[in-house]
This record gives sequence, C-alpha cells and structure tokens, in this order.
Amino acid sequence: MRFLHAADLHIGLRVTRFGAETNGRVQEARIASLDRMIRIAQTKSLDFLLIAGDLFDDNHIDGATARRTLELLESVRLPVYIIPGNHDPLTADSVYERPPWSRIGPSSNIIVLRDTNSVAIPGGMLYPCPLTAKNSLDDPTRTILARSPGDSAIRIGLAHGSLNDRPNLPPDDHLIDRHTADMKGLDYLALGHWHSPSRHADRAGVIRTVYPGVHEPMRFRDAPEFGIGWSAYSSASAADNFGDDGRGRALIVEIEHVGAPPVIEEIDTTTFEWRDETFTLRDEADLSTLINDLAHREQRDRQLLRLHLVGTLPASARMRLDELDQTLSGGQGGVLAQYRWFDLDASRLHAEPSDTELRDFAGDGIVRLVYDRLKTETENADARTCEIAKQSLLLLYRFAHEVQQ
Amino acid sequence: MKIRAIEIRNWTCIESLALRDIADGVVVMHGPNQTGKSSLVHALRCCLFDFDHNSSASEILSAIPRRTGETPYVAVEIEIDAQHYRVEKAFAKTKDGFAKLHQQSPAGWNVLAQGKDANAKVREIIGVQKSTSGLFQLMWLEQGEVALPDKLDLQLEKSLEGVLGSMITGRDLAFFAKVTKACERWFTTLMKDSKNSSVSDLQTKLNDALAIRGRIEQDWLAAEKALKEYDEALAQKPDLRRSLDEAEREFDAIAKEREAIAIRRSQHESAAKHHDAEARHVVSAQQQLAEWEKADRKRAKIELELRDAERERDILAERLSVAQAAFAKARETVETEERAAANQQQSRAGIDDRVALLNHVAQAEMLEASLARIREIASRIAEIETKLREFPEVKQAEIDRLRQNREQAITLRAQLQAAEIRIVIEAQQPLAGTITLDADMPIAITLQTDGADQWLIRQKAHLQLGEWANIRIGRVQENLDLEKSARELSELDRIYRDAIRLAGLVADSANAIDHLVARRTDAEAWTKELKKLRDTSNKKAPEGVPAMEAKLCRLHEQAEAVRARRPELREWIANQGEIDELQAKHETAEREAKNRLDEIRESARQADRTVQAEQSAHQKGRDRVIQLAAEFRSATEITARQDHAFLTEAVANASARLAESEKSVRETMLTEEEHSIETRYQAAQNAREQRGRRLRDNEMTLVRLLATLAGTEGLHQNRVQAEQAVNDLQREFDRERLFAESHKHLKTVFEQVRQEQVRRTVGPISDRVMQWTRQLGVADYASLEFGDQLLPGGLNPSNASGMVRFEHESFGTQEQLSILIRLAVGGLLAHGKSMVAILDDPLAHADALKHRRMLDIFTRAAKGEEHGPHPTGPLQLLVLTCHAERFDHLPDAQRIDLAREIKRIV
Repeated sequence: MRFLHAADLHIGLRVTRFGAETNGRVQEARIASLDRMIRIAQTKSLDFLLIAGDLFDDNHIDGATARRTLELLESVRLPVYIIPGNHDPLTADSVYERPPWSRIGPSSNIIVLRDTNSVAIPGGMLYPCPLTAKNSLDDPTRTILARSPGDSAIRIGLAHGSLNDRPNLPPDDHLIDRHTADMKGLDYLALGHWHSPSRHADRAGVIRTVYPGVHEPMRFRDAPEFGIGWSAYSSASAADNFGDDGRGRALIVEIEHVGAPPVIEEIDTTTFEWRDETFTLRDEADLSTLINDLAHREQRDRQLLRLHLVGTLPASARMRLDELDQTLSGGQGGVLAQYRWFDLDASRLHAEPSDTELRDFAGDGIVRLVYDRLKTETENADARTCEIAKQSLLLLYRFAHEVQQ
Repeated sequence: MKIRAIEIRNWTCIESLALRDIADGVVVMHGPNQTGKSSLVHALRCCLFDFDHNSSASEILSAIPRRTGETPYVAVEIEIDAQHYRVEKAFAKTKDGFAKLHQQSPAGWNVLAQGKDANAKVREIIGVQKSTSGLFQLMWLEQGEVALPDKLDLQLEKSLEGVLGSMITGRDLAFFAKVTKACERWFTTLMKDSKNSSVSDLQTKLNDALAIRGRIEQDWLAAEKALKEYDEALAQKPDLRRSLDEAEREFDAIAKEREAIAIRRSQHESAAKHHDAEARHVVSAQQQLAEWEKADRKRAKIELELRDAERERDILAERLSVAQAAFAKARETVETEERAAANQQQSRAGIDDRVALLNHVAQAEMLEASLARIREIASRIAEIETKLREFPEVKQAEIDRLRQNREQAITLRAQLQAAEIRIVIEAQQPLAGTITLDADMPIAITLQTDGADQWLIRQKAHLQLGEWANIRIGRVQENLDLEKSARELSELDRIYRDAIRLAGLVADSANAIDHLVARRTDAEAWTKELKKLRDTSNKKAPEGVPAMEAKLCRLHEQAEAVRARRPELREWIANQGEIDELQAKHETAEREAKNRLDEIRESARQADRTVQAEQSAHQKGRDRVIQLAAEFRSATEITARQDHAFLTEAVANASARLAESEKSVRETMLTEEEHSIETRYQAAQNAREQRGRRLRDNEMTLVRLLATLAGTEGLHQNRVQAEQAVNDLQREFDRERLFAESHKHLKTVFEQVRQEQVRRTVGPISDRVMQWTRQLGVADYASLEFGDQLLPGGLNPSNASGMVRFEHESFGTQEQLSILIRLAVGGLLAHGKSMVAILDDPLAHADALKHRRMLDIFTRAAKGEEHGPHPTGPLQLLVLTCHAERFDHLPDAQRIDLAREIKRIV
C-alpha cells in the first residue's frame, strides 16, 4: 500500500498583512503548492491520497476557490479520501454540503468522508474520523473499532486533532489519545491539525502516528508576534508544533503488510519562502555588502522577507537606506527583480553623525540644539515618543541637508 | 570712548565755547532754550564722525554763522582705552579748512594725522563711520527721540553677538522655513490639524473600512449563531416528532369514544324534545279551560253593568233637553240688551263730534291771535332796521378819536394864534390892492379909511397897493415850527370834517360830536329792541309764519268736515257746558246698560256651560252602553264556542302523556364522564395541533437557517478582504500620522529651543532692564519680548496675557523704557571699555517720582557693575537739558551752565 498523506492545506487562507496583491499571491500559493504536490504524487505510483482535515481554511470560502480545488483533486485520477477538519467541519454550512462539493457523484475519485463508517481502500480498510464542530471535548478516534481477532487487513486511521501527548493542551481541541494506534490496532494513523511535521512511535517503537505539517508555510518561523491575519479556530496556541516550520511538505507512505513499519518519504511542496533575517551594520561598507547580497539572491519573487537592521551608521550612510529600499522593491529603473514582499525594520539602526558632519549639516545654531534635544528624546522610555523623535531626527537630516545644498 | 573737552567757534549761533575737564559719570549741561545745546551735539557728530573738514554738505554750510560768515571750528578731546586724542576741524573748502588728529603723550600733544588722513584716522580710532553706527545708534539720542530703532545697525548687532552670542543664524531660519512649509501639508498656520490633510483623509477611509469590517464581522457572527441554532433545532426534531405521534394517537382514541357518545346524546335530545312538547300540550289544555271559565264569569258581570248603563243614559238625555232650553232663553235676552247698547253708542259719537268741533274752533282762534301779534312785531322790526340803516351806529372809539382831534386842533390853533403876526393898517385914503398871506394865494383887498384892517400871518405877507405901496412884511428868519404846526392843524381839520360828513352831519356844527353821541345811544337802544322782537317772533312762530297759516287752514277744514257730517251742528255755537252735560248723561246710561249686559251675558255663558256638561255626560253614557254591549256579545260568543266538560278531559289526557315522556328522558340521560367528552376531545385536538405546529416551526427553522447558511458562501473572502483593507489603511494611516506628528514635533522643538536661545542670549539685557523697570515702579511685566531680534519689541505681562508692544504704552513710559534698554545695551558693550551717551533733553514726559527714580538709574548705569552674572562697564552720560533743577538730585554729577559758557553770536 502506497499513499500520500497531506493535511492542513487551508485553501483560501486568511491573509491580511501584506497588501492586496501580495495577500492574493500568498493565498494563490496554497493552490500552486497543491498543484505541485499532485504533480509529484502522480510520479510516485500511489494507490490513493489522504487529506487529514482542514483542506479549506473556512467553510465560508467562495465558490470559485472551492471549485478550483475540486478540479485539481479530480485531476489526480486516484482516490482522494478527505475528512473535514476543525476549520471546515461538517456543519450545516459546510463547504462540502454546497455545490460543487455537494454534487460529487459516486463515480468521482473524490470521497468526502461524512461519517465514521470504515471504508475499503486499495489494500486495506480506512477508518475516517470527520469533525462536525470547530471545537469538541470528544476524541475523534473514539469511533474506530479495535482490530478484531483474525482481521488481517491493513488498517489506516484518518483523523484531525491534537495528540494528547503533553500536559496543558486545550481540552476542547479534539484531543486524541496518544495510544490510539496501539489500542485500535492501526497500522498508520494519518493525522492533521498541527502545522509542523510530527511523528510518534507506538509502544513497540514503530512510527505509526504522523502529522505531515502544512503543504505551504504561512508564517515567519521566528517571528510569531508578526501576525499575518490568520488565526486558528481551535484554542491552541500558535507556538510549537501547531505553527509551521517555514517549509511546506507532504508525505509518501508505504506499508508493505499488516504490522509492517510504515516507510515515510517527505516531498517538498513549498512555493513561498518566509524569511526573517537580521543584519548588523557597522559602517557604510557593511551596508553596501548587504545591498549587493540582496540584489543578487535567487528567486526573489518567491521570498517574503522581513529584514531587521541593527548597529550604528554615520548619518551620511543612513541616506543610503533609500537605496536598500529600492533594491528590495525592484527599483533602480526596474533592473532588479523585486522581492515578493519585504519589511525593512531599521528601528534598531542608529545614525550617529560625527562632529564634522554635525557642523556641516546643522551648523552651530538652533538646528544643532534641536538635534541634541531630539537625540535625547530617542532614548525616552515611551515608545511613541521615541518613535516620533527618531522620525523627527530623520526629517532634521533631510531639511538640514537641503538647506546646506 | 569718553569726551574730555570741547571747543567750538563760529558754529551756527555759537560764537565760542570751551569746555574742559569733562568728568566721568553723569554730566548735566544745562541752559535755557536757544542757548545752543542741540548745536553743540550737532557739532560733536560732525566733527567726530559725519563730515570731513572740506565737506560742502548742507549740514556744514548751514553751520556757518550767517552774520559773520566765519569758518566753523570744532575741537573735541576724547579718551579711548586710556589714550587721549584731540580732533580739530575747521570746516571750509578753502585754505582755511583743516583737520588734525592729535594724541597726547607725556611730552605733550603730537599730531597723528592731518587732512583726509585725520578724518579717516578718527573714524578708525572710534570704530564707526557715522554717528548713527555701532553703539552710537543707541547711545546718542537726538532731542525728542523716544522709540527704539526698528532695526539694529549691523555693526552694533555684531558687537552684541560678540558679547551675548548668536541668536539665530540664517541657516536656522532657512531650516525653519522648510519645516514650516512641510508642515502645511497637515497643519494650519496655528498648527491645528488641517481638515483636508492626508491624515484626516486616511482617517476617514480607515473609519469606513472599519465600518465595513464591522458589518462583515456581524454577518460572520450571525452565521455562527445560525449554525448553532441549526444544530439545536436539528437536535430537537426527533423529540418533537415523537411527541406529535403520541398526541395523534390519543386524539384518535378520544374521537372514537366521542362518536359513540354522540348517538346516545341524540336519543336523549329526541326524548327531551318529546317531553317538552307534551309539557306544552298540558299547559295549553289548562289555559283553554281557565280562559273559558274566566269568559263565563265576565259575561255575567257585563250583563248587569249594561242594564245600569242604559238607565243612566236615559236620565242624562232628559237633563240635556232642560239645559238647552234654558240656554236659548238666555241668548235671546243678551241679543236684546246688545241692540240697546248699540243705540247708546250712536249718542256717544254725537258728543265726540261736538267736542272735536269745539277744539278746532278754539285752536283756530288762538292761532289767528298769534299771527296778528307776529305781523305786528314784523312791522316794528322793519321800522327799526330802516332807522339803523339811515343812522348807522358810530363807534365809541371814533367819537373818542374825534374828541381828541378837536382838542389837539384847539391847542395847535392857540399856539399859532399866539405866534402869529398881526398886521394892522389904518388907511388914510381908500386903497385897493392885493395881499398875499404866507404861502396862500393873493387876495384882493380894499382898504377903507374907517377903521383899521388887520390880518394875521405866520411868516410873511406881501401887500400890493397899486402904485401906492408894495409892502413886504416877514420874519427875519422863517419859523419852521409854526409851519409844521399849521400843517398838522390843517390835517386835523380835514380828518374831522371828513368824519363828520361821513356821519351825515354838518362839520361846522358846534355840537356835531354831541349829535354823534346821541345817535350812538339811540342805535344801541334800537339794536336791543330789534333783538328782543326777533326773539319774540321766533318763539311765537318757531316753524315760521307759513307753517302757522297752513295749520290754521287745516283746522278750518276739519271743523267744516264735522259740520258736514252733522248738519244739526251747522248753526251750533260751540259750548263746553253743553258738552259736559251731554257727556254726563251719556256716561250714566252707558254704565247702566253695560252692567245689565254683563249680567245677562254671564247668565248665558253659565247656561252654555251647563249644556256642554250635560252633552258630555250624555255622550259618555251612550259610549258606555255601546262598549258594554260589545263586550257582552264577545263574552257570549266565547262561552258558546266550547264545552266545559270537553276541556276538562283534554287536560287530564295531556298530563298522562307528559308523565310518560319524563320517564323516557331519564332513561336516555348522559353520565358525567360522557358529558366531559367534548372537553377531552378539544384538549387532545389542541395538543395535537400544538405539537404539529412545533414540528412545523422546527422544520421551518431548519429550512430558514439552511438558507441563511447557504448565503454565507464567500463570507470568508469578504472578511479577509475587509480586514486586509483595514490593515492596509491602518498601516498607511499610522505611517502618515507618524510623519505628520514628527514634522510637528520638529517644528515645536525648534520653537522651544529658539525661545530658550533667545532667553539665554538676551538675558543680560532683559534682566537688567526688568530690574530697573521694577525700580522705576512699573511692576506689571515679567520680561522683555525679543522675537528674533536683539532689541526687544515689547513686554510680556506677569499674567501671561500676551506681549504688549512699547508703542502701546504711554509716551512717558515708552521713553523711559527706551532709555533703560539703551543704557543696558550700552553698559554691556562698555564692559572693559568706556562709552559716552548723549541724552538731549531726556525725560521730558516723566512725572516727578519717575524722574527721580530715573536719575538713580542714571547714577547706577554710569557707575557700571564690575561683578555679577552680567558685568557692565561705566558710562559717561552727557545730559543736555533746559531744566537744570530737575537734575538737582544728582549730587555727584558735573554741572555745566552752557548759558555762561557759550558766547552766542549777536
């Protein structure tokens, strides 16, 4: 038995951070990654595909997105078993109860598993555990019957929820007993819900309980505070396993026979890289190096870049930040390809003009005294005061420079 | 610089002046007006700074004394940095003009420079080019100069900056202009938020986006709620279905029971109907029997009453006949008496005609008498009016005027007569000739020998006696008064004659005025009589004589009408006594007849009333008989219709059937439980409908919620887009606001720093001036306001109510503040050096107290302060004044009497 295990595709993802065009691109990337995943799958001699919940980000997505997703999955020409997750639960307003998903015929390769009845799959039996609510205190796998004596079929569980392997998990987050695979006699428990990949061994030390992670990342890994607008419908925190690790992937799983350890292969499905980088600048040369580096990176249009600059620059070099900005945005007459999105954070980059510079642009009059006053204010504890003072200093540089010229 | 000596010759009005050993500190140079004080200052300015010795400027030419035309000469000895110099200038383009600069050395005065070099060297040593440059701009005041200069001299400004530090640089100003210009993008000139700025625009857009997001979030929450409701409704549905099924089963059982009970109820209702019918039959039979018995009793009773009524009717008919006969007799008597009364009425008309005739005749006679009297009065009125026309009334004033006229004429005439010249000629032989008296025409005269002829003249006379004599007699000088009196007399006589003639009298009559008086008396009497007669006439005939005559005519016609109606009265002579007698007789007869007629009429009316009553009683008797007869017939018919025995049997039969039907009713009656079947049936039906309705409501809710949920497709994307729009706008708004606030902050900090810089820079000036101001007694202000200048423009009040400009202060205060600021600035710049200030006629507008305090300040300023935060140097204050006594409170001051020192050109 050879199949693909994916989860948490979150088609129609809620992204509101980057501006209209980039937001659209980020959403579109999830479909592109799905397309990539399907194309790879078609090369792997698979028997079927499993999607362990949260195919859609929400039940209220628009019809066009729902249709595009269906058409893509139909193009696989392999059985695709799907269970609703907590983001697209099987409620009265479920996306699966609306056209076109509600009109899927029996001859289709798409099988939306609306109940917990076991389903015969090529080479074994599938035990689906669809969710019917966003939150629940019930273990979604409770309905899976334990292996009967003499049952020699490969048993695959398909569920969506948090594996109860640690304390302090939210009780209504569809908690799944961590020994489910053992108790129910499952050869493989295909799970979804956690956005980072995660594998768990049974009592015999065999990996049988697996989260594949997302097929397309949706956050800057090291900047959890930087929300993109998306939030989970569960009450779990976005930290740890629940958040993605900055990469997108699906799993190819092969089980030779009942009881055999599953062989798991990762395939990379990532479309956009979410990069959060920090550079320390000491002088203008450092800045030049950085600009050059950024200007020559590969696949810039597939990168979402948060760039943090720290250190101290002379005031004259600070003027070159505009050049850096143009590099990131594809300026310089369009010579450079722009990054898909960037955020330049220079709040920790300090401009310290020398005495000569100061005399040159501020003179010895009131402007110089104003400079001293603003400089003091930038060390104020109040963030807003500090921010305004820094911005005022930049303005002072600009106006003084203009006057000097 | 200090001035130590001054020597002037031939300068405007000054023939010569030599001042030596001019001291430090305050020097009061006094002298009355026209002494030459201002000329002295002018000479100093020209000599030290403003003009070369060979200048031909108008100021120099005007300094040449007009009377002497001598060359102006000025020499000033000055001390600078402990060096003594002497500047000498003789102002002329000719060889008489020269300039020399001397410097003192232990050996004496050495010439440092001459001519043009001397002019330039002097300016170089003093450090300014003109007397209005540098510190001299502030310290050398012209007479009447009060306000501070609008702008500091550049050299002075630099000097001040050298001492105080820079206030604001050109670069600062350019920077501030740029910041201010940039701020206009978001703020007004007062740095209020502009209504149309990009920040407010973004704020509006952000609010709109937030509103949209809010609406979509509401939709989202509504969808969540709908989903929850759907799940709840779906969970309720099986219970509702089960409950409905139970209700339907219960309803069916009760419905069957109800049908069985309905059959028994029908039987019972039928028995009850039969029982009711039988009961009605019994009642009917009993009623019929009772009615028959009642009718029979009634018939017997009516029969007796009918017989009594018939007897009564006959009696009444007889009584009616008797009454009718009595009424006919009374009616006849009345008619007889009424005819007698009519005859009596004829007699009454004859008496009335006599009375009317008598009245007409009497009134006509009275009217005729009145007419006669009126005609008599009219005749007398005509007579008086004739007299008044003939002899018009003379006014008393006219009479008085004539009397006065005569009195004046007599007086004048007596005066004339007294002054007249009498000419007496006694002729010896007859002579004929003419005589001309005064201005009269010549009169022919004949002189006889018998006696003397005489004339009276006023002025002159001319006597021509033929060939015999031509005599002229006259006054030596004509008496003009006499002529005037003669003319007045003649005028009085003319007026008198005209008045008398106008009154119809002869003027020469001696008693003409008495006649006028008599006539006036008569006229008054006639006028009074005339008024009285007219009043009498009006009273007697107020409507006029024609109306009275018409009335008389009508009276005659009425009398004739009576006579025509009663021929027997044609010859009747009206007699009131006869009429009274006839009237008495007639009234007696009439009264008797009336009494008789009244009695007879009352009897007739009584008889008529008796007839009416008897007729009514008789009619009632007849009606009663008819009614009783009808009732009797009716009662007879009723009793005759049925038989009493038959009716009694019918009652007994009906009672038997009623008993049977009562038994049947009791047998079919429903039990209590059977009676409650309808209530139970209704309750079961309600329960079934209620539960059915609940189930339908549940299904409708599910359908409705499904429809609602079906409409949520795409809500996720809308929510994403709305939030995205809010985020975008929020970021843009935050960025723009930060940008705007940073501009504002930069400008605010700049202004704060500039204020501090100003305060720091001008502090030494401001502190000193405010200290002196308080010493002066002006305590309303806290500080000087400098703006960007080193010279203040006004004062900041202690109550922070805004700057008060100097020109808004009183003239005196303005002058005092101006001097204080000048002394403060001068003191600062004089530190380490020395400076001379010239005040020409200062403090002219200060009151005594402030003047005194200003002198104290002068003393302090002149001494300077070596120590303290802002040390100042000493000043030499040359005060020129025409009021020496006002500066007596300067005990240490040097006093120079210019009136004594200056020799003026006469």
